[in-house]
Amino acid sequence: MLQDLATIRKLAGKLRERSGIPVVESCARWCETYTQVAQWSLGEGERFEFMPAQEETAMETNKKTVAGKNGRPPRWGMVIDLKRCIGCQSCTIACKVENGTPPGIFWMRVLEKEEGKYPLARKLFLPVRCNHCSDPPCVPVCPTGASYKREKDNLVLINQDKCIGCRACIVACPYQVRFLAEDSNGYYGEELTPYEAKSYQKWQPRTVQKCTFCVDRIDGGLEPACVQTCPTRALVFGDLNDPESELSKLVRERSHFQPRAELGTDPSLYYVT
Amino acid sequence: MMHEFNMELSSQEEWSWLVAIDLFLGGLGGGLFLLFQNLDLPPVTGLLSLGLVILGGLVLLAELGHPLRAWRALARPQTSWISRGMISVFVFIIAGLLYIAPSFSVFSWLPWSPTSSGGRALGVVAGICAFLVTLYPGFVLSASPSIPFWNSPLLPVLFFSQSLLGASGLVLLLSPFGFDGQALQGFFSLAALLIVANFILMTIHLWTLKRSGLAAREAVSLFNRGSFGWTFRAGVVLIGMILPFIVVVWVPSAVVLAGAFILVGSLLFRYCVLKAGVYVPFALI
Amino acid sequence: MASKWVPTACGMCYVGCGIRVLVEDGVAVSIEGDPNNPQNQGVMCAKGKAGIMNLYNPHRIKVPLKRTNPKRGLHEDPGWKEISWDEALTTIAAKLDGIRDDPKKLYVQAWEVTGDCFYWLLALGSAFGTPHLMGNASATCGKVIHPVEFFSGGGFHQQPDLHYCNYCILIGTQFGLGARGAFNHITLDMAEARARGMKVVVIDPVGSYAASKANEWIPIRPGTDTAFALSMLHVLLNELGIYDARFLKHKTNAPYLVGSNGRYIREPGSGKPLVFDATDQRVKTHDDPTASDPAITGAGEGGRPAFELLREHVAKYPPEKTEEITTIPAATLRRLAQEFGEAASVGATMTIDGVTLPYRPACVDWAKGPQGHKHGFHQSWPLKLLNIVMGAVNVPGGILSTAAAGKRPHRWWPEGGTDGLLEEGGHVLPLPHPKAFPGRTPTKPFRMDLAELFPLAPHFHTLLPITCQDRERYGLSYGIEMMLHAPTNSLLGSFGDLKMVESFYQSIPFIAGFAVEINETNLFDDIVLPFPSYLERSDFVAGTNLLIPHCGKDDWLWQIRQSVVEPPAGMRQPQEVIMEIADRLGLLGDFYRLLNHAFRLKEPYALQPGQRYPITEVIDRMARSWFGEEHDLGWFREHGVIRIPRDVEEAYIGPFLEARLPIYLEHFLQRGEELKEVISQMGLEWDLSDYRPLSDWMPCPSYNAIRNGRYDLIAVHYKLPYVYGSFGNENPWINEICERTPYAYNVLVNEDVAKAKGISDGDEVWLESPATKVRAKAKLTQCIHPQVVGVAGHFGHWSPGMPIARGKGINFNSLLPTDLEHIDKISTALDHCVEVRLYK
Ligand SMILES: Nc1nc2c(c(=O)[nH]1)N[C@H]1C(S)=C(S)[C@@H](COP(=O)(O)OP(=O)(O)OC[C@H]3O[C@@H](n4cnc5c(=O)[nH]c(N)nc54)[C@H](O)[C@@H]3O)O[C@H]1N2
Ligand SMILES: Nc1nc2c(c(=O)[nH]1)N[C@H]1C(S)=C(S)[C@@H](COP(=O)(O)OP(=O)(O)OC[C@H]3O[C@@H](n4cnc5c(=O)[nH]c(N)nc54)[C@H](O)[C@@H]3O)O[C@H]1N2
Ligand code: SF4
Ligand code: SF4
Ligand code: SF4
Ligand code: SF4
Ligand code: SF4
Ligand SMILES: [Mo]
Repeated sequence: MLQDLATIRKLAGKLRERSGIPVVESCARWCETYTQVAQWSLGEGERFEFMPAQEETAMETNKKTVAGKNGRPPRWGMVIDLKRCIGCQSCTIACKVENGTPPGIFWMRVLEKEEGKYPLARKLFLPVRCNHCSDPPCVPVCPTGASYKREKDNLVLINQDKCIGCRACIVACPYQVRFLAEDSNGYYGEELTPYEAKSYQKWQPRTVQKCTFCVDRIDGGLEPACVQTCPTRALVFGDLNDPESELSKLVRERSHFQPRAELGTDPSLYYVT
Repeated sequence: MMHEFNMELSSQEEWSWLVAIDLFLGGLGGGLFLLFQNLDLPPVTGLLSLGLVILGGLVLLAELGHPLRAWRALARPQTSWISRGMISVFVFIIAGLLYIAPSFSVFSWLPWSPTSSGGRALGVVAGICAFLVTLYPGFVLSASPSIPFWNSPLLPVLFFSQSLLGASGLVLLLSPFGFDGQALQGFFSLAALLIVANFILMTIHLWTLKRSGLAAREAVSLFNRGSFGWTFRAGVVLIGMILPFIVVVWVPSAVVLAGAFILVGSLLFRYCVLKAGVYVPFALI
Repeated sequence: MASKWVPTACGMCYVGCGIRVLVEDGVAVSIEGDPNNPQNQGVMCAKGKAGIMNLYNPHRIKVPLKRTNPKRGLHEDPGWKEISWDEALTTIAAKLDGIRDDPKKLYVQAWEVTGDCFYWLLALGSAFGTPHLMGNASATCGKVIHPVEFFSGGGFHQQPDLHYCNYCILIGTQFGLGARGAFNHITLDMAEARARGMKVVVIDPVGSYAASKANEWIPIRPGTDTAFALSMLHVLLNELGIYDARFLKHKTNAPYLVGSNGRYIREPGSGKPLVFDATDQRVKTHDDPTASDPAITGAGEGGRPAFELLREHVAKYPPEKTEEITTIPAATLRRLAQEFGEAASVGATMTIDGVTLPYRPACVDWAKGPQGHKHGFHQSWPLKLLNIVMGAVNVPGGILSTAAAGKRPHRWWPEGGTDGLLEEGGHVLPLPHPKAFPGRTPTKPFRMDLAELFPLAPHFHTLLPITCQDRERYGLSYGIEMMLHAPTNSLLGSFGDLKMVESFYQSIPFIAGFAVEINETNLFDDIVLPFPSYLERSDFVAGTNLLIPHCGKDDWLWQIRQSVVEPPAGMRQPQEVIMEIADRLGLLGDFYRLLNHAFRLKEPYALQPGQRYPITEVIDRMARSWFGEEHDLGWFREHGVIRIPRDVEEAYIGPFLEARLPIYLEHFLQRGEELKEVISQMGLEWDLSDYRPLSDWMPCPSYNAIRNGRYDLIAVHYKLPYVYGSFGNENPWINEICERTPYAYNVLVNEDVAKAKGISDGDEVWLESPATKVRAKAKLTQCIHPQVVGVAGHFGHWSPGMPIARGKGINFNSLLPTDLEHIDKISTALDHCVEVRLYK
């Protein structure tokens, strides 16, 4: 059904009257609308059947199965595809939202480094987080046992109730990925935002914290938050013990390195290049 | 704790003055106890060494995020040098106290004396612990694989020899209250010897590092740059070593000054070692 | 603990990704991408991920405010006083009523981009009767791309077809690697395309995010893209002879015969342009179905095919000459042309879903970089020509036009018109956009923004600060007396030279607008209306998925926004506020008529005059009207997004367009002549050399300033992947990243150049342009052209209402001289490259 042309003409006239502008000449889109309504109105075929394929899956969680395979205990690991990573820092922020880390502390961050001389120069982006080393220097130095390796899946975790905040593990970690929050101030000072009031319950001030591989998420079958959000899917999480995992395949097929492998820490992070 | 988002060389910032003071006091205490035991110094020096170690422990508590949980630090002697150090400190304080106590008249009723077999055993235990107290910071630091300045077998030796040097400085400082003549001469020679030993050790350490990787070189070059460079050159080398050496060799009358110089140098040495904790940026690919 | 995931649309930038928010006891605690949303496919960018901190920013405005200090200035304290909604709206309505006799005294800054408010404010302004409706905030972006797309693509913006492209040249854009609409979709597609081996060449003065991921970064001197494009065309057409002749003959005006006066040779009676049919060896009208082989070479009937003229024209730009202009080595350019030409695979076809289509897996994409120049139109247009001569437009692998056509839930399709050429860009909302073909007949201006003197331009606001200095000169007998604005920051980002912008805002007696936080624009407000966070709002249009969605065969979508947390007490929904203003003015009927039209609302869904609605009811009506009764607001609240499959025709409209694309802009001559007439009648002296049918390279003022040594560097700006406009600048997480990377708040200077000046990394420096001088911190880098200073983002805030952003980075726009000399006479783009001196 066409719009009432007369009404539109009347409106256009009114507009001309009010603004003294020849409507056809004026070009603000809405002004033009008055004169063009007729030609733009819907005619035949106005509504199409458009949704045969609409699946009602919308509220499923962002779930990717992250369970160990073949009855073997998993060894959780991550592949970071440096070809894909564009340095967008989405993973950095995702980790913040997920874990409620306080100001100044980034369990993960994406480093930028320049390479080459003009004009053959470029920036490299390198996302870094705890490597969940198989032989982690941070664990043996811990005098309290607060830092430990979870034997069932190789995660390196911290029991914050035990941590005395001596920082030995921070300096022992070769990768600078352990942190200690001096206080529980939020981003807007002492008074926490409602979000912070909730998320800050996930850690204790004056104890050491670091990337947990989002242990609660993986225990619940979800990918880590940084992996889930990465817009280029440069991050791949999975079981290094499962030769069929996407992760293991990537490590097999692409050239790669483990950060500072020469230290013998055997990181569970592989950078593919 | 500012971690920038670029891959540049950076020093650890976790351990600074408080830890330096703790290491200084602990080392001084341990070293003094060793001197006390081996050079037959008056019992009060033994007591002083215990006091210093206790003070160091208190400073350490202040540095901890959760001092009230400090007892937990005894839990991992199998792997952790901090645990071992804490246990050493703990045992040292107890054994040391028990060992010295009978030397003082108030405690003369105790059933052992420093020379009785029980007392000697206590002395041996305390002595070993004192030795460990001087040594363990070196091991704690050298457990950081990514900090080349620390990650060296020389570091515990350096800490040990610095502890003895500091202790000898303290003895010199206190000399007006007890030693003279022959004894003092002996301390002069000891101090001079320790200064030379420390100087040589330090030079070897720096020289080796200078010829190693990027972070090591950066750490060494820190000693030649800016205010930190001055802290090292003027504080550790000039005040802590050269001046006291000159004094003990040529101007023995200024012995107290030499003692004070050595102590200042010894404290700054700890500070400088901590500050020189430059990480190997883990991804200079 | 009550916790639930609520689907809605992200509002941290104009894209509008599908997200779901975890709400615990009424508090938003997490945000994740919605995997079922075909736009972002579950992923999110840093800006969106950081949204919670904007929601809980304690400095947000939650009640209406009025100014008590009558003095207005960049650094004047407004002396805010809290007032009631009633007082605020009564004041605004009274002021509007006061200019009712001459509604054009109202200026509406409507650009809001994340939701409905944009359309509602435009409708209010239109119903009121003013033509001064600002629908675009930037002084650069969109100025050229939209008009060019309307007449040479059919949609609103362009995107390389990452599904099939093998060779992608990005010129002055960080497409899929740092910026652009449909951000998360194109970022993922780009990653896949690169992984499958697509080659990316980035031509940009700054070696930023895009350049870093490119196979090749080719630095270019700013404002010289025309020369580059023309040389590429020269090598392709004249040296290599690679072009899609079939496409040119049948789908462009390449065969149209052009006379010696530059105009088409037309059939006397019908006025239709003529072509020479090589088969029958005689001229025919362009639409003659028997013209089976319209010649694009040779001559005929006193004219020559437009293509011949193009070929001859570009021969004036051998790569050697261009090398001096652009600093791109001639050999490099020749190689690029060869690689591009070969990759385009002229003549190849591919079959998708049983439909055989031309397959041109190479394209050139450009966006903000080439547009922001004194001759912005001609900087950009020949870049599009590179795709057209390859036939790589709206076909697999080539350049695609966004949102150009669709069949569901409504049908919209770009159409041909005048002279058989593409004229009408498609738009799912029936809202025509001012177009560059055939353009409008210039007249003496009524409008403050001189729209009448820019007959081919899409947006005009950049003129306002200029005309308000001297209205008489343009024959304007009135001034803007009132401004209503959306919660954006035009004062900071939409114009240049701040002194001029300040005096423009000062010249407006009454300003009222929305605010999320008090930004620099709000400092000039008389009345501030609080604007809810995107997590507290409801919108039927959530982001730019209707204008700049992803291209290709991936599903299209409609996504609404619902509030996921309770707005603060006293906050009102902006659409309801605008509705109330219309009501108070007695304009509700007209206002609804426009909304009903724009949103195609018909009985029984149409909004009824005399009635006011809660916004949720309006959205419910729109949803049911568009998607059927079963897809009401409740359905969307539960599902978030509706996926709309696209067929081959919708995805690749090229072969299905019944209109030709231009390679020769004949109408520019006509418009230029008309304009010259008007201009001289008005006693103005304008350089109208841009009104030419074939592009030539014409330098920006900065180019000459450097030549004659008065300045030594050119400043340009670029975007960061984790910053959108100034939206997130007050976000403490985003700010922290900006503080910790040296590439955000610092200005980039070539390391060797800086060292020669005695400047070290991290030094405080002065950056001085003809407009102003600002204090900045230098980041020395190898990733920038030696003649260029790079300024990122949209920083340099000073409003006390933005304590986190305040004093960080620099405001690039303030460096830009603002006068007619720096405005593109075709598009009104403000020159965004500016000569500077850099010193300690
Ligand atoms: N992350 C992020 N995404 C965004 C936005 C955002 O702010 N952040 N904004 C959105 C909006 S509104 C827009 S308009 C788009 C913009 O998207 P793009 O157009 O891709 O924006 P920029 O990243 O600024 O890219 C412009 C590039 O042009 C370069 N340049 C400057 N002058 C010249 C020149 O003369 N010639 C050439 N060849 N290059 C030049 C700059 O260095 C810069 O790299 O992105 C949209 N998406
Ligand atoms: N220097 C510089 N100037 C630029 C650009 C640049 O990159 N650098 N980019 C240019 C381009 S391409 C464009 S398109 C324009 C963009 O310009 P605008 O679209 O005007 O974007 P912002 O300046 O980011 O304005 C956003 C303001 O809106 C407010 N705001 C915050 N949250 C919300 C919200 O949820 N909803 C709404 N509606 N508002 C909110 C904030 O106060 C913020 O200051 O800027 C242009 N100007
Ligand atoms: S989100 Fe992905 S692409 Fe972005 S910086 Fe992190 S790893 Fe790189
Ligand atoms: S990366 Fe560092 S913190 Fe993580 S396991 Fe290895 S040593 Fe420990
Ligand atoms: S800081 Fe905590 S976790 Fe780290 S070593 Fe000390 S006690 Fe262990
Ligand atoms: S795995 Fe989880 S905790 Fe670790 S960096 Fe990623 S988001 Fe942070
Ligand atoms: S691209 Fe824009 S809409 Fe999408 S997640 Fe990022 S900020 Fe939100
Ligand atoms: Mo833009």
